[in-house]
Amino acid sequence: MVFQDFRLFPDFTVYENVAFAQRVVEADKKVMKRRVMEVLSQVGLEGKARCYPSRLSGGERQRTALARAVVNQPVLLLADEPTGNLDQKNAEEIMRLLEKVNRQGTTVLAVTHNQELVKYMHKRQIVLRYGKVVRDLAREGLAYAR
Amino acid sequence: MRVRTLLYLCRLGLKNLWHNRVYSAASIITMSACIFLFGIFYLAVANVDALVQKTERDVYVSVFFDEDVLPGRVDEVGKLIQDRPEVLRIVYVSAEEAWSGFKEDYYGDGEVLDGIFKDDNPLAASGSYQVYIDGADWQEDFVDYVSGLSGVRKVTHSADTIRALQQIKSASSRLIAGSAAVLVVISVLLIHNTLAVGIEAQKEKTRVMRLMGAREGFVKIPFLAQGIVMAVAGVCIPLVLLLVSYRWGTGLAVPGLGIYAGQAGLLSEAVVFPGLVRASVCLGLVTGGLGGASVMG
Repeated sequence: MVFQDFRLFPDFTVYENVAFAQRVVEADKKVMKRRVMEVLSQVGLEGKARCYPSRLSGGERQRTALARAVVNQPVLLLADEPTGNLDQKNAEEIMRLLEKVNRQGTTVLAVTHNQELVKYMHKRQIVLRYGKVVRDLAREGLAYAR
Repeated sequence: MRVRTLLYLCRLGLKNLWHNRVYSAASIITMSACIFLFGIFYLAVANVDALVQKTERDVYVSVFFDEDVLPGRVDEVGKLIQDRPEVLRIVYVSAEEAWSGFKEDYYGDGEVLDGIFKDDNPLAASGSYQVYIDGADWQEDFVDYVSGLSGVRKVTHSADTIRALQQIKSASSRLIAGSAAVLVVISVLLIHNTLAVGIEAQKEKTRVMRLMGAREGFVKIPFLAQGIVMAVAGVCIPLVLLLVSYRWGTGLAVPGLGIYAGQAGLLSEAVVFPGLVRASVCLGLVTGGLGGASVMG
C-alpha cells in the first residue's frame, strides 16, 4: 500500500523502511538485502539507503514508500493519492514507477483527484462519487508511453 | 516465528525505548521510587517484627510460691508447668539467686549493703519459676491456669508489654499491607499512563505495520520487550539502592546508636533480602500486569 503522506517510519533509514516489509514475511537475510537494494535501485534511491526520511525530498520519500510497497512483489498494490503531496514532476515520476510495477505483474489500483494524471496514464478508469461507481472506462491497448 | 525475527523485534522494542527515552525514564524512575518506598516499609516492618518476636521470646512469667509450701509441691508444679504445650522452657530461681540478682541489678558491687543484711535474705520466700512461653498470645491463658494451682502465691507477667507488642505487630502488618496497596494503585496508574502514551505515540506506526501484513505478535512483541526492560529496571534499581542503603544504615546504626546484636540487632541482609526481592518482583509483576491489562482493556 502507498499513502498520500508516505507514512515512513521516521526512526528507520530508507533501507530499514524497505527491509521492514521483508521482515514481516520473515525473508532470508541474504534475500532481503539483495531484494531491498534491487528495488531501491529501481526507484533510483540506492545512494540514499542510509538516509533517514527527514533528509529526503517529498518525491524521494514517496519513492521509498513505493519501494517498501513493492519489495514483497505483491499481487495487488493499493495507492491512496500517491501524488497528492508532490509537484507535477515528482508526480509523473511516481506514476511512471507505478506503471513499471504494473508491467512486472502487479495490479495497481491508484486513487487520485488529479484528472491530468489519469488522462496521462491511459489506463482503466473507475469514477466514484459518494462511494458509488458512476463510470468505468476500460482503455485497453492504450499503454502509457513517453 | 523465527529466532532472528524475535531478536529483531526485541531490538525494535529497545529502539522504541530509547526513542521515547523521556517517558521510559519517567516510568522507570516512578516505578523504582514506588518499590523503593515499599522496600523501606518492608525492611522496617521486618525488623520490627523480628524485634517483637525476640522480645516475646525473652519475656517470661514468674511463678512465686506460698511461704509454707513443701519442696515436693514446688517440683510438682514445675512438672505441671513443663507439661503445658505453650511452655518453651522453665528456669527455677532460688531465693538466694533472686537476692543475689536483685543486689547486682540495683546496688552494683553491693558495697552500700555491707553490714546491713549480712546473712539475712529479704527475698527468702521468693523462690520462683521463670516460665518462657511460645508467643505472647498464650500468656494470659497460662497465667490463669497457674494462678489456680495450689501452693502458688503469686504470678507476675508483663501483660501490658505483651499487649503493646501485639499492637505494634498488628499496626506494622496493617502499615505494610496499606502501603503496598497504595503503591500498587499509584504504580498501576503510572504504568497505565506511560504505556498509553507509548502506544499512542506508536499508533500510526503499528497501523502501518498491520497494513503491511504484520501479525499481532509482530506488532506487540516490541511493546512486550519494552515493558519487560522497564519492569526489570524498575525492580532492580530500587533493590540495589535498598541493598546499598541498608548496608550503610546498619553500618551507621550498629556502632552509632549502640544497637548491638544481643539486644535489638537489625536483621542481616541475607535474612531480610530474599523476602524483599520476592515481594518486589511480585509487586512489579502485579503492577506491570494490571497496568498493561488496563491499557489493553
